Amino acid sequence: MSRSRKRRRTVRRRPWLRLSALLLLVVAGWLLYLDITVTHKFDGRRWDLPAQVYARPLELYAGLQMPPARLERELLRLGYRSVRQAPRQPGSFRRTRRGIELMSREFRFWDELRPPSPLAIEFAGAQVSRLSSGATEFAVARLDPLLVGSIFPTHGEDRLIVAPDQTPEVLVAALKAVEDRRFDEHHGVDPRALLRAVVVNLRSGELQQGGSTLTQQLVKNYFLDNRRTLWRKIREAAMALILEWHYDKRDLLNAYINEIYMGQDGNRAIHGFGLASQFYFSRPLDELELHQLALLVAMVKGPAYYNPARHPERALERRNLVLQMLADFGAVTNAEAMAAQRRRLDTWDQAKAGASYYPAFLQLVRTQLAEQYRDEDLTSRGLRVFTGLDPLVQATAEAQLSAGLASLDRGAEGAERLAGAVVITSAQSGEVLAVVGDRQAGFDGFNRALDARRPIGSLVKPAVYLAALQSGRYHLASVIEDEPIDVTLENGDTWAPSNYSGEAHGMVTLLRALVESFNLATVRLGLAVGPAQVADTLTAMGGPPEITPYPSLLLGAVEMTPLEVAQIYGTLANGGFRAPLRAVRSVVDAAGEPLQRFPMAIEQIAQPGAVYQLNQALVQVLRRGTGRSASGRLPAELVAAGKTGTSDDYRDSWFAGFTGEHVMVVWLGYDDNRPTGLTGASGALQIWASIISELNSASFAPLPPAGLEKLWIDYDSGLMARPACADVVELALPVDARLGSKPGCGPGLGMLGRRAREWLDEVFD
Amino acid sequence: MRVAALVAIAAGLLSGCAGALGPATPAPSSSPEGSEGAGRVPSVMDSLSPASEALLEQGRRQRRAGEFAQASASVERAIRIEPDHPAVWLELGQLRFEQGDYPQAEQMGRKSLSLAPAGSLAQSQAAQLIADAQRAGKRP
Repeated sequence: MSRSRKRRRTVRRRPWLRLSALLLLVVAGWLLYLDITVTHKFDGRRWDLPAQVYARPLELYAGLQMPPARLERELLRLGYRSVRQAPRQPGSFRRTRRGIELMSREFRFWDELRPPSPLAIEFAGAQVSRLSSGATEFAVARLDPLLVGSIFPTHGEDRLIVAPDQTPEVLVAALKAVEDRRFDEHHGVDPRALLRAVVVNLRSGELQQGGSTLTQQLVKNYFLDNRRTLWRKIREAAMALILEWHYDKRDLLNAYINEIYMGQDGNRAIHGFGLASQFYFSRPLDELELHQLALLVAMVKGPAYYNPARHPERALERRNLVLQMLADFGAVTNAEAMAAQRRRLDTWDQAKAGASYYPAFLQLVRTQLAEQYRDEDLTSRGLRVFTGLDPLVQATAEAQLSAGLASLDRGAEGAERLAGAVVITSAQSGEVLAVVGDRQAGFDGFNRALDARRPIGSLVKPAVYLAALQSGRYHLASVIEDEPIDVTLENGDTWAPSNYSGEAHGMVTLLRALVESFNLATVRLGLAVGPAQVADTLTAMGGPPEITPYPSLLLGAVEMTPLEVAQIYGTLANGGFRAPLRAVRSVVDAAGEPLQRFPMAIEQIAQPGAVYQLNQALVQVLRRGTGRSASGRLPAELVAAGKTGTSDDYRDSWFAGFTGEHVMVVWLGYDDNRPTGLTGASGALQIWASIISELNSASFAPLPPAGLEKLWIDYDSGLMARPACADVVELALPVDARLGSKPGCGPGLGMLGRRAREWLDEVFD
Repeated sequence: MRVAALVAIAAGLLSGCAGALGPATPAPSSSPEGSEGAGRVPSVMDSLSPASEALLEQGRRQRRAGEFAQASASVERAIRIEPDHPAVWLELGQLRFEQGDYPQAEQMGRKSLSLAPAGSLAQSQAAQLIADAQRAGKRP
């Protein structure tokens, strides 16, 4: 008690001591706080690696339909350099008289580490004819896959880490020459540069020149604070000193190279030279040439201001200045600098090749991985994810969707514009090839392909007919009634559906009712089969697990996303085998060790004969039914199948269909659910058809399953008829189907085959 | 019913199309391809491409080495190249069988069967795989 009183007295006697002690304590505390903050950030950051996502590797083999020009496009997209001599550097190629020669990059696939390897690809017309390397011939070879994005944390920072040994020496020299000449000598702060900056700033009366060392810039990047107050500067300087005290120059420089902000892509922030190299040149950092490295260094000062796409003159001027500084610094010779100054900016042309980044597809990747991985695993552990994304298919879908929407919109703007979505999958393995969630494909916004749940309208009808065909009570030529019907609902209300045209058609075949999308016949058929049966069929095909079997389900009063619809139609394309849709094929960890594979899996959910019959009707939809308006846009010889869908009041325009190769769903509508005035045929189908024809997709040509036989059938009546008779279609129908013959037009005995013999047997029994 | 049938046959005879009274046996399935998207000529099966053949062979090597996941990746590459060929699905089915995944072995067999022309070797192989998988799946 007395002692403390005594001390207090002492302190009171010397107030300056107390003040400075307090000040010292505060400063020490502050420094400790800074120390903890900055070292935590530094240590933490070194391990924060977003998962990298790759597209499918292009498989090359003799017989592949791919003209040399298209392969060249793929190589340029991969950032391969076109060279004149035989390619020696990984990531380079040359066109030759016989085809293309290339030197591939080293790449760690899921199942093998492939060193850089030479490959010669020869063509016969538009087809790959031979793959070889020297005297060795290959049956199949894959290119390295395109890096299509990464799973970065919600704060939007994306980066691709480069190790010190992947960093070109000239980049290091350029950073020092331009940003911090005394980097190797100073301790985090460069008093001389600072003094110079202060003089300049005092003269101009504002803070113009930084005088920041690379370390200070690193600190600034860590805390993303661009306010240039004096206080910030002091804080920055203190943190820089602390960093230099804890870590060596090599680590700091590497952190800088991986940390620095290099531009913006929607809400994705491009950080670090590794990602910047991919983003601006589509090429790994260690493959960049001098003029390209100089451009990246030039951009450090202001990634937006010196953006090469938006301000090419500015960017070029500063790049050339950087090259000059490099020569002055002695990092390159004058001749090298001058040669580089003569080069074009040489950035990869994003506009020509489509978006560089596929947020809609990446969202699907994230969803699929979310079942097994925590979010922080994906955003920080440096996983590598191999997907089935096909960049060519994706680019086609993006371009055709925006072009189609633009022409349907006729000059509408902002929220008045139509929205759209496209999902494309492979017909037999369930791999998702492309996802477009918006007209602006690179924009990371509302992803309608995955998140827009809309009434599917007539897209549901195939499930009604499949349920009917599976029941064994109907075949495709069976006749049903297309007449008005009143349905009493559970709540006592009466539901009276009507046809699109407003007319009823009397007795029609299942074929015609589906091809022309008659509502009355479909409701009658669905009620006869049972809505619960239809709901079960829809679920089995890949629809939502619990669908309430209201009668209105029969006309598509059920909401689904385009992706879900793709799953359902994929089951039809696959002959009744449901293959769960997959975006991801496999995952490896940062060291390249395989973590996981998502194997192909299928399940037969419908009788092959029923699916085959149904698909014949879906082919007719595009020939003569509600989808016939697309015939002008589709190649004449292409066999494709599909169904139009239009929801109430034209709010949603759908088309879902498939070829032998692709399953595709297109949806159009307004986000606020206003009527579009479009049917499935006048809207979605047109875009569907232009994408399919651009893809050069293979025809749908399944093998008729056992138990069906082909017959010529009168389209209206379902009676057998001669091919020469008007309006007949050839259908494969169950061999035990009972069929009448069209009066005056019946088939000859020769065509009747077994059926005739059975009948004769029966008649003379 | 008989009357209807007789009428139908009579109509057929009278219609003048009956000139070629064929044998009353099932029409050969190699009838010209219909315009209705009905498939390939079933009696002829295309041979597997060298690319798929090489990938299946690679898959077999990996399978023998016990590298099932790698083998699976190789066979799936072949499936992407030639998804219409019964042999690639059969291979994946046999691989699944060896891995003890009998339900998927059977499904792959069914897929292979759906692509195999009637009377082909592929058809009997697929049928065999389905039967084996079903039997193995029932074993306790």
